[in-house]
Amino acid sequence: MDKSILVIVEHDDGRLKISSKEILSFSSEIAVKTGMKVFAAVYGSAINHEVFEEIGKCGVGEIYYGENHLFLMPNVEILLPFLAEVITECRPQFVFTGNTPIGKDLLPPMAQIFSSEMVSDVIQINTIHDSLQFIKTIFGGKIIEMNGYKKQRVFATIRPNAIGIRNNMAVIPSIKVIKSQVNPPINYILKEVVKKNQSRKPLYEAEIIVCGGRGIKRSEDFFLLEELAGVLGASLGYTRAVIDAGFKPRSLQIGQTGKTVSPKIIITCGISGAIQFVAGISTAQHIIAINKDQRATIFKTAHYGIIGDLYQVVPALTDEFKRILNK
Amino acid sequence: MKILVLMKEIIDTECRIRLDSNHNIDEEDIKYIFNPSDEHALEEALRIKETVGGEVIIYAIARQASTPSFKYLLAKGADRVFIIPSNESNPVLMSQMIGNAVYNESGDFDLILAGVMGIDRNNGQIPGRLSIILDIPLVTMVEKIDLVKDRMICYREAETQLEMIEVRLPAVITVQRGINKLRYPTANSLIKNNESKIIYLSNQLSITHEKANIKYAYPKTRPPVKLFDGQEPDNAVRELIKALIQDKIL
Repeated sequence: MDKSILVIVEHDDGRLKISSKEILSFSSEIAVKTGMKVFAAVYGSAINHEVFEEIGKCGVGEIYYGENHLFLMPNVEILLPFLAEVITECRPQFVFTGNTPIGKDLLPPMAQIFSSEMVSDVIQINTIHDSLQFIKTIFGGKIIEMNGYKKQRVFATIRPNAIGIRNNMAVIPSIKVIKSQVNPPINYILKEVVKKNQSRKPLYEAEIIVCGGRGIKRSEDFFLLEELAGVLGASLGYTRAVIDAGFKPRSLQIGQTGKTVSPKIIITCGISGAIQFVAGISTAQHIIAINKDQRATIFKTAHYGIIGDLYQVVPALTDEFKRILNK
Repeated sequence: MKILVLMKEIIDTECRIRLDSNHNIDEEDIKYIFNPSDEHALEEALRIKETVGGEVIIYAIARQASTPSFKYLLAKGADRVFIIPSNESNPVLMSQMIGNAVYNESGDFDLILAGVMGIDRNNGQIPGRLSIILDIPLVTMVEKIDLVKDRMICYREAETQLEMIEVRLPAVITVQRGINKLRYPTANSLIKNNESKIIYLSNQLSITHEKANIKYAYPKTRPPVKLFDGQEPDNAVRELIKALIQDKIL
């Protein structure tokens, strides 16, 4: 095993995903500090060359590329053999990917193949001497857990938007194509796919999120939040109460049993701030809460708050943003 | 059909959680609950058993003191509970313990169901690791399942698409809490003496594994919130945006 980092990259429509940019640029920065090497693993079929250039711009030049038409519909069964081959070849101590749907699926079995430790949903990485320490929150954000490692191999999924993008010196990528045998899946067969309406960014990569809770009384009132989100180019999320009431699909649930998000700004509307919800937004950079009860616990977590009725405050906010953004 | 359900007892995150003088988690006065999505995995297993027959067997790594809460699961209709007594929280070691127990006690299983993730430590590693240890396929975050002969049709919501997946059994499937509504046991089943159905297994492991050096701390306290009175919404909104601009957020 070498002192090096392998980043498993995600891309979409010929663009590197933001979470991958963060991890690549951060790894490249660590590499400079600690003398480690950084590699990227990319999979796909006839992918746009821009993806490789973007990896180079993050400061990472050595790319392992798995090319196969089966990688267009990736799943664990298809990807594990390719990634295991890359890891065996570049022998990294650390393997990173985003705490994204595919990252969360891939890494536990991957770590098990190598009988290795894994840290899930990392929000910060510290360099200590020449090794790394991984920080995450546990018990609904009430405790911070710091995982230190010396020499063993470690896999980690890193929470999108938590570590930020660094500006590194660009390098020219050199691509090594891995032509591993990929068998069509026999155990796990994707029979049918329905594409969702993708007018908004997925929650885990959104920079701004407008989030609604129990304070919204009727399903026809959600347009208030949709209008605000529209003006800000924000994604929409909801609390468990809204999801359980059947108003919105479960994929939009934010909180401990839903998604953890760390946008730059989150505006919570009519949300009291139960611990299970707060655990899902605690790493958001700026939390703005709108609630009519000034004793609501959300105001203990929020950075800014308006004590008022969301039915009046949200439209006023929409109008004001429209005005200053000239929309 | 022989269905195994992985259930984890977790610290209730509603509790006040403190660190002791050695900076470890202070377990005094702490309440334990079953991980919510694991309870939905059990519910789904019971529903499959009601349709096609078979057995529902729970596997759990738990404290010795937890027998009463497992009796509650038996009252719901589970047939047996295997407990591996341990307070281990390392996913590598936990998966190996469960893998060994399953191999020894229920080698001929058809399906393993589990919740999508433990909400105590947000690891979500055990099902994926177990799929490698037992060499069976894995389907995660499932919202609906239908059994068709020796295969399971799983409906899951990925980030950009809804997927229908056909998976060959035996398999590990993790479920989200939206998959079903939990049942309550009847009063009669609760008073039944079914302690003999709770079986304690050995927690011996033959592997050596180097764990992380773990330290705990409290999160930094947050600065106090900047509040604006929304009696006059337009005014409050303007004040808020002014503050956001001043603080260089906009």
